[in-house]
This record gives sequence, C-alpha cells and structure tokens, in this order.
Amino acid sequence: MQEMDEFIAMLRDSAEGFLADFQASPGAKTEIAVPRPLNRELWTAMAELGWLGLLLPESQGGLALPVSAAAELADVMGRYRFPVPYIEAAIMPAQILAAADNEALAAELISGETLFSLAWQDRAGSDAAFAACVLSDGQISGQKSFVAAVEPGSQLLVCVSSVNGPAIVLVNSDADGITAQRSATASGSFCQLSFDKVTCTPLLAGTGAEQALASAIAAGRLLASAFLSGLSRACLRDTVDYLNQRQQFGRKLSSFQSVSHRCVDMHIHIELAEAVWRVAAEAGDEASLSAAKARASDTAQDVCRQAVQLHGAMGFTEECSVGEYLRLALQYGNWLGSAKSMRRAFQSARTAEALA
Amino acid sequence: MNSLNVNRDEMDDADFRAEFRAFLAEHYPAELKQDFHRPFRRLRGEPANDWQRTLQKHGWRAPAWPRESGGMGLSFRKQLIYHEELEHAGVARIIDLGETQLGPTIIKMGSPEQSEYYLPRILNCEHVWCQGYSEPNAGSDLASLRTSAELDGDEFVVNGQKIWTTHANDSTHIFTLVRTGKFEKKQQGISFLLIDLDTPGISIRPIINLAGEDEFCEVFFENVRVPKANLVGELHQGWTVAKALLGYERVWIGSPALAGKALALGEHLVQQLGLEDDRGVMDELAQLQADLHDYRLLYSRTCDAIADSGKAPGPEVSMLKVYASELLHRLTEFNVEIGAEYGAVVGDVEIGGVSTADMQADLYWQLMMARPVTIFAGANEIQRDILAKTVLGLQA
Ligand SMILES: Cc1cc2nc3c(=O)[nH]c(=O)nc-3n(C[C@H](O)[C@H](O)[C@H](O)COP(=O)(O)OP(=O)(O)OC[C@H]3O[C@@H](n4cnc5c(N)ncnc54)[C@H](O)[C@@H]3O)c2cc1C
Repeated sequence: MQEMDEFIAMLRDSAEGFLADFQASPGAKTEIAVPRPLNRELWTAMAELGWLGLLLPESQGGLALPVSAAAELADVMGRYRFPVPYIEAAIMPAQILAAADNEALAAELISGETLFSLAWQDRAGSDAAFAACVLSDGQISGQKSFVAAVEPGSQLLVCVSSVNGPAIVLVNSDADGITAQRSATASGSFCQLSFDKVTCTPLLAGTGAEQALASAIAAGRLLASAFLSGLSRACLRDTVDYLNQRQQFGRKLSSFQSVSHRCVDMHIHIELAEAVWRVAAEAGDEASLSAAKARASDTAQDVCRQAVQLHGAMGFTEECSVGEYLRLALQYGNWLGSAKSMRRAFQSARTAEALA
Repeated sequence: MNSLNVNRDEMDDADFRAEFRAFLAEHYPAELKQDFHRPFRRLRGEPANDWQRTLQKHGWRAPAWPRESGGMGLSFRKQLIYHEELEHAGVARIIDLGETQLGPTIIKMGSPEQSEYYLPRILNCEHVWCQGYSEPNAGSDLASLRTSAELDGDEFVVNGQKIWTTHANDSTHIFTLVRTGKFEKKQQGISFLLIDLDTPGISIRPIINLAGEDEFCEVFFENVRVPKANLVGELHQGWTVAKALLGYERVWIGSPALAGKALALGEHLVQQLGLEDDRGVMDELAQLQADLHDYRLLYSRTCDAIADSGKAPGPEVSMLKVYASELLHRLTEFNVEIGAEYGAVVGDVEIGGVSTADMQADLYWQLMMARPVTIFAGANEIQRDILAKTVLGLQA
C-alpha cells in the first residue's frame, strides 16, 4: 500500500514537470474548430514515460498499475489542460488489447509506434456498441460514431456483431472501404466512420468482447472524471489569481462578495467531484463511477463557463486559458456519458444494488 | 426625410407589419438568413453595408431616427414591430453603431454641422462606426478611462488605448470617450470625441474570440490629431452624452430574439435526436419554453409602458438585459447537453436525424456566442447593482 502511494507521488511529480514544460511550449496552443492530428513526438515522449502501457499486464510489457494510478495521472493532465487524446488512444485501447492477450499489438501501443483507436459507439447518447457494424465472411460493414484520434495508419479496434454474437476486430484505418467524416474536438478530432466490406482480423468474441469494452468504458469514465476534476481545479485557481490581481472601482474584483461567493460555490463542487472520483477509483462499482462522471461533467462545464464571465471580456478571448479549459470540459463532459445520462446510470445502479 | 419620403409611422400597425414582412421576404438574401448552423448570425463588412443600402433605398433604414434626419421616424411601438419582423424573417443582426448609437447622440446633442455632415454618411454606409469606450483598465469601471485628449490650437491630440472595440477592423470611424481634464469625480473631465480611423497615429489589432472569430480589436492612439469640431456636446461632459442612450441599448439587448433562435434550435434538436419521449429532457424544454413565453410578455409589457410614457427607459430596463441574457445562456447550455457527444465537438458537425434529414450544426458556436451577452453593455453583476440600488432601494 505504502509502496503504491510513494509510486503515485512519483508519477504525479514527474507528470507535473513534463506537463508544465509542454504547456509552456508553442505546441500547446490549440486552434479553435480545426481538427488536429496527434503530435507524434509528444506521444513518443509519453511512451518513454511509461504512460501508454500503464495499465497493461507485465506479461505484455506494461506496468500493470491499477486504474486508480492512471486516474491520478489524468487528474494531473487536467490541471495542465493537456489537449492530447490519452484516454482515447492509450487507456481505452489498452483495455481491449489486455483482454485480447495480444503481446505484439500491446508492444506497438506501449512504444507509441502505432496508434490505436477504439471504434465502439453506435450512436450519440448511448452505450450501444455492437449493432451498427456487422461482421460477415471476415469483412465488416456499417457505421461508428465519435471515434477519437483516427490518424493515417491507425489501428482501429471495432466493435461489431456477428452470427456468433458481439466481437471486436482489428482493421487498419487506411484499408479500402473506410470513409471518415472528421470534426474538431479539444483533444484533436472525432470521426464518423463508415465501413463497406472491410477485411478485418478477429480479436475478441462473445462475452470476452463485451467485458473488454465494458472495462475500457469504465476506465475511460474514471479517467475522464479525474481529468475534469483536475481541470476544474486549475481553472478556478487561474480565475482566483485573476480576480486577486484585476482592479475595478479602486478595488480588487476578488473583494466583491457576489464574485467571491461564486468562487466558493465552485470550490465546493470541485471538492465533491474529487471525493467521488477517488472513491470510484478504488471501489470501481457502477454507482460510484457513474456518480463521479456525472459530477465531474457538470462541475467542469459550470466552472469554466463561470470563469469566462468572471474574466470579463478577457475570458471571451482565444488567448485566455479559460477557453482551453472550457473546450476540454465540453469534450470530456459530453463524451463517455453526459451528466444527465450518468445520473440516470447512477440511479439504475443504486436500484439494482438495493434489490441485490 | 428618408429617400422615399413616405411616412410609415402613420400606417396602421397591422399594415405596417404586413408591408415590412413582404419587403423582407422579397429582398433579404436567403443565404444570409439565420439558421440552425448560425442561429445568431451577424453580418459585417460589405454584406452588411449592402443590406443597409437596400433598406435605405426602400425607406426602411434607421427606424428610430426622426424623418427630418433621414430616418423613418417610427414611434417606439412601431420600432418594436420592426424588430419583431426582422426576427421573424431570420434577418442576420448588424451591429450598426452609427445608426443605433452615434446618430441618435448627434441628433440629440450634436451641432447642426455635425448632423449635416455625419448623418447622411451613416445612412449610406460611407461611414461605418465603432464604439471606443472600454480600455484595458476601464471595463466595468468605465469612468476610470485614461485615453487622453489634449487641446493644441484647433485640434485635440489623442494618446492611449481602447480595447474590445467590436468591428474596429471593419469600420471607418470610432466614437470615443476620452479624458480631457482631471476633476474630483472621475466621471467629470471625460469628453465624447469623433475620430476618423484613417488619421495618422492610429493602429488596430484584431483579437480572436472564443468562437475563433476576429470580432473585436485593440485600437491604439499615438499623437492622433483630431479637429476640435469633432467634439460632441460640451467639453468634459462626455459621460452625460454617452449615458443618454444607455436605456435604449438595454432595451434592445434585452430583446427575446436571440433566445427565440436558441430555443428553435433546441426544439429542432429534440426532434432530430428523437428525444420526444425523454421525460427529463421534455421537462427541461418545457421550463425553457415557459420561461421564454413569460419573458416575451414581460418584455412587451415593459416596452409598452415605455411607449405609453413617451419617456426614455429608466433603470428598471436593466432587468430585461439580465433575464434575457441568462435565459440565452441556459438555452444554449441545454442544446449542448442534449446534444451529448455532439456537444463535445468544437465547430461543425453533421447531426444524424432519427426520422429527419441530417442537419449541420455547431453547438460550440452558439454556446460561445451567447457568453459575452452577460458581459458587454454593462456586465450582469453591474446591472444587478443598478437594480438593487435604484429599483429596490437597497443601500450600499
Ligand atoms: C464581445 C464583446 C464586445 C465588446 N464590444 C465593445 C465595444 O465595441 N466597445 C467598447 O467600448 N467595449 C466593448 N466591450 C467591452 C465591454 O463593455 C466590457 O467587457 C465590459 O464593460 C466589462 O468590462 P471588463 O471586460 O473589463 O470586465 P471587468 O470589469 O474586469 O469585470 C470582470 C468580471 O468582474 C465582474 N465585476 C466587475 N465589477 C464588479 C462589481 N462591482 N461587483 C461584482 N462584480 C463585478 C464583472 O461583472 C465581470 O464578471 C465588449 C465586450 C465584449 C465581451
């Protein structure tokens, strides 16, 4: 236990240094409404830190850390508004490769040499994943929505249905028969993918596929919650710094009660968000995980929107850090379960627990 | 007199409405309409000027100006109809500060020479005006502004900086508040000065906003020489000159038009995403629908009272700005939330329809463009201070 605590402290520490350097670099600035390719040099540096294989078993060359350790890292990433698809292209695909027990692919992911994307979602606002794409005769056809970090040469892990039930298969994003419609997000892009008889390699089938996807989504949700919690904290801190320094009417803005009380309310919500994701990280149950994602999604979007207001016109500029927080809050707050849908999931999980 | 010399103020309200509606249907370009992709679309630059000239040609320009100044001379009630019809037709907004702010100021406080020179040039868009009030250290506390204008013979010499100047990069002129003297109260010693943006010593730097657009700018003044004749009103009395129109500004910013567009988008999204059976979503939508419905009634009631009184709006109209802008916030946030993953996209996205055709939307844009409405023209915190003090009598 103590060993783990020390390790996590070290992980957070080294992440702070790395992310602070990145944030100060020109590459950290993101353009609005422009899909952005993943920075491969940065990705390789993250691989060297061991981040890509954090959760993979040692037998596959990973660090075999618990998902709570990855959540710690995501919290730090949020604090540095790290606009890189770590959850999308490292954490979630790794859960699938771990389940598939595929050492060769895992090695490619860990080294950062190959990019992986999990193409799971059938449609907006739903966890349905195995209906919109069909496998037959070794080829897949259908649609996938909101697939993050698809780049030339990426490997796609696609959730499909087959006569034998659900399956997860591997296809290269450059393969014939794939068309992509891309839109911008804070961490890069989402693709709407269409598959027309694309030849694939099977990875997982049946309940194995379902369980692997469930653990990928759960890990994604947990990390997104931690990321949003860290992000909210940093956005509030930046706002407090601004209010302490900006003067109007011969006083600091921080001295106006209608301003300071709002900051306190935001702080309470951030404390709630952190309390919940930390418990979810240890317990891993459906109820606390859903609660964590709901709380963090709401809190981050609310904090960032209020931060715009409290910065005045400055908050409405592209230059100000608030916009970067806000765009990330929108991404991780509305993807992998919006606050509303996560509250509903929380309610169902609670009801199920009460009945059990 | 407007170019057609018709007096539409004498028309019956219903006829007036019908005629303007028909005019807009015939003349407003369909491709410039507000739509679900750009529900709060604004025009600027040439498309804006073209449309203003079309209005001018047909006698529909400057509804609030007196006829002898070249406007339509409409009563406040008819102006409301005019704005309702613009909203109804989905006409994009134009920030024409020459028409809405400077013109009325000159008419009220300017010299005859200023009226004669500037007003026709505003109407035909030869001059396009922006508003240079805010400075880096003078935002909510506008009276602490420091850009200085010192008299040197027949000219003022202007030095300093303005910021957040909307569309300075599309304008030919700027009306400014500048410091001409130091007195005990900081509201004194401010003057209202008209400046041609072509004057040597002026530089403009656009600032990119949260939606990625270069709508506002910084404007720098370095030894800019401005004729003394460009002073509007008395020297040192600029604060009073600028304040004279604030009430009307708050009435127009309080218009339910933007909220109406955001709600229409929300209603369409609910259908597009097949959420009609989702009780939670429908309850929230019902709340927003009722809020906008009730607000429209409050808005008409307040505007009717202003029209009946024949007086300028009082401080109570701050409530319009507060409610309308915060309702707009809630509406655009609702649209993002029900959009689920589409709400995570920054920019254009195709939203697949459940039973309808796909729609192109940009939920990020509408969320962002709603943000500054609670900030500009007196931030809502400041409006609440005004209401607390003047309407409720809460003592500081
Ligand atoms: C999109 C946009 C367009 C604009 N266009 C123009 C333009 O064309 N010309 C022009 O001159 N200006 C323009 N402005 C500037 C606008 O008038 C100012 O932003 C506004 O006056 C607020 O000033 P500020 O931005 O400096 O914020 P600040 O005054 O620094 O305020 C920051 C925050 O603190 C709050 N605050 C300040 N004082 C108090 C208090 N006493 N009590 C409680 N809270 C307080 C504010 O409400 C705000 O939330 C524009 C602004 C925006 C956002």
